[in-house]
Amino acid sequence: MEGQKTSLFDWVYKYGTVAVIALVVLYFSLTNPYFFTYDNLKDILRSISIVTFVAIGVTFSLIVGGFDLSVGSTVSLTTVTAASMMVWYEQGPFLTLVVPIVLSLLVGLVNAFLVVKIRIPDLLATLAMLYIVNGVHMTYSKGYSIYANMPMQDGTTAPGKFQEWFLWLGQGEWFSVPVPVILTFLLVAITHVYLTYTKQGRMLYMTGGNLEAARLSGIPVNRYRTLAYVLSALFAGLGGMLLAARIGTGQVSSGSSMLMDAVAAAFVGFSVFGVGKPNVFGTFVGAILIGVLLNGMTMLNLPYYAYDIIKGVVLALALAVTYYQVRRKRKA
Amino acid sequence: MKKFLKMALASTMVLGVLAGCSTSSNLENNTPGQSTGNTGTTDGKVTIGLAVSTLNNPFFVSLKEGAEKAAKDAGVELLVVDAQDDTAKQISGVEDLIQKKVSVLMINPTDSAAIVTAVEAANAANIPVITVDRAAEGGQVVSHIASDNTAGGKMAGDFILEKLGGKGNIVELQGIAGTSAARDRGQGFHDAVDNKEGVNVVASQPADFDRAKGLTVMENILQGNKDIQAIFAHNDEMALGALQAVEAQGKDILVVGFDATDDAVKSVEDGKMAATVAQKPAAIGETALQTAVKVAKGEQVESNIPVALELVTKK
Repeated sequence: MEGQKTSLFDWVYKYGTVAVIALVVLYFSLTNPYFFTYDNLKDILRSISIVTFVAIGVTFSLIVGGFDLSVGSTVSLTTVTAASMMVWYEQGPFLTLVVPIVLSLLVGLVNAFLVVKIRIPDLLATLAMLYIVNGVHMTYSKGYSIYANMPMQDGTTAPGKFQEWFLWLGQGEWFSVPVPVILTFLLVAITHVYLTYTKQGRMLYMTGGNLEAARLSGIPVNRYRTLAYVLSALFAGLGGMLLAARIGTGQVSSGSSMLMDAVAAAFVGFSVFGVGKPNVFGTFVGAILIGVLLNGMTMLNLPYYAYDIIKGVVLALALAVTYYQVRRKRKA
Repeated sequence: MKKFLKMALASTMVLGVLAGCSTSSNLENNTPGQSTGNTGTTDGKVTIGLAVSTLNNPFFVSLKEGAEKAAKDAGVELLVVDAQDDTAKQISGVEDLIQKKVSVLMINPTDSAAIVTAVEAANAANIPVITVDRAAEGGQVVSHIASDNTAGGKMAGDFILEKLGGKGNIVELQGIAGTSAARDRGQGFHDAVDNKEGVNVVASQPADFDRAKGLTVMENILQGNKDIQAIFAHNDEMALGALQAVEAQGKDILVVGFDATDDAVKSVEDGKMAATVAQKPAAIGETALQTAVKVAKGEQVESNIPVALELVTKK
């Protein structure tokens, strides 16, 4: 009997999250004939693409035993700067892409400096950066969202507009697959391969698993922790640019809600296929679960406040299973 | 790892509280060449405080600019605090203005009920309060300057009924729950469309006056309901987000917004949005400031000052 209980738990631990997604999809498909259609699945994947970018960034910081709270404000920063390059300064593709990327890398480097060199605990350092970056982008945009034909301080209207190539990144389709979805699949595939099959990826995991042991075995842990924070900020920055391309404006407060969804996706990902640690594929599955829930509940005309309750319950269950398994392993 | 995860999760929960309780009030002096150091009483100069719900919305930017223009014309100092749609931040911003001893306080509430404590604090400090665009549900307010949101919602509903020929399925995108604007616009809209044979409001979903949420919510609604003829959004930002979702699906759906922001008016002129209810935010800001100056001088003012509405459609 005990053995049966154990094997059932092992099954839940390994396949629980995927089973929940399957059940949720089944339920919504039965209650709404339009749910399980190509168009709707495409919409779900498009809607989670930006959160996935940010969540993968969070995953990198979790892998090295850190935690990056500044990703939300980094999203807002790059959303606003990408928009301003086109709308305020009428810049072409080069500066529109390079300036936000450089800024996000800078945020990552400052985070790494505070955590790795100054040795401020990561949560506190990145919390400080959250406020700094928020303040910087608010000061830069004067608190205004950036959109075509917006009134400028001098009474004129903004000279530029969102360019077609940029909007295509967030709104376009390629062989009837949304461009953000293609970019997300590419990112998930590349980062998964990088973390699973390369020496650097394994070093990142070793750094997070046991910092002292990794250092003693000759791994340049500070370099890998720096890399993790830089990549975390970079992916958040790319997510911000994708967000600007998707909605066609630079929304100043857009990133604030991203942090919580990204963290939820990353933590739900711990329990996917029983990995029990931060992993890119799990994070992607976590983001899908969150997207499916929101989409299905909106289709049923339930207000999205109810969705927060469901999301919290799912997160709590996923973590409960993960931690229970960790305790069992320790006892064994 | 286990210890770290516990700490990480706890911190994430705490973060929401930290962000919500930030006391920074973004106090800025919006009259060029004047110092924020002046209070309402030190040099006999009138100082007006304006607590605005968010400057992340073109409507409120226009409202603020209207107030600034009127302040310049009247030769008074205007201090502006931006709450960024955060009730706690707005209350602390109002408290900052009270400490500055402004002559009159103009408040555009993020939440009509939650702002009551701030209004009462101003009452206790003997600072007259004027509410702008959104009402407060308590405290003593000398004047409320706004468009008639209920009439605006009804105007939008009537326009949709006329365009649909009295039958069809409509989606309503609601604003932030708790704001008088969302409640009144929704009320007016439902007064027009409810109990009309052949007319169904197939979905009413909150999208928090936000373009990105308007887009996401509308995408999901469009997937679940293939037969939609019209959308009424409680503001233009949501309407523009919804329009994007509609265009992406190649559908022909009537979209009506509220506020007549520059972006929305251009969309109407381009034949994309069907209409938007023009609230004239700059006029609201201007009227509010002029009323505040009268109050500061001890003159009597009307307790309710409506600002005219009009429906903007393609010429």
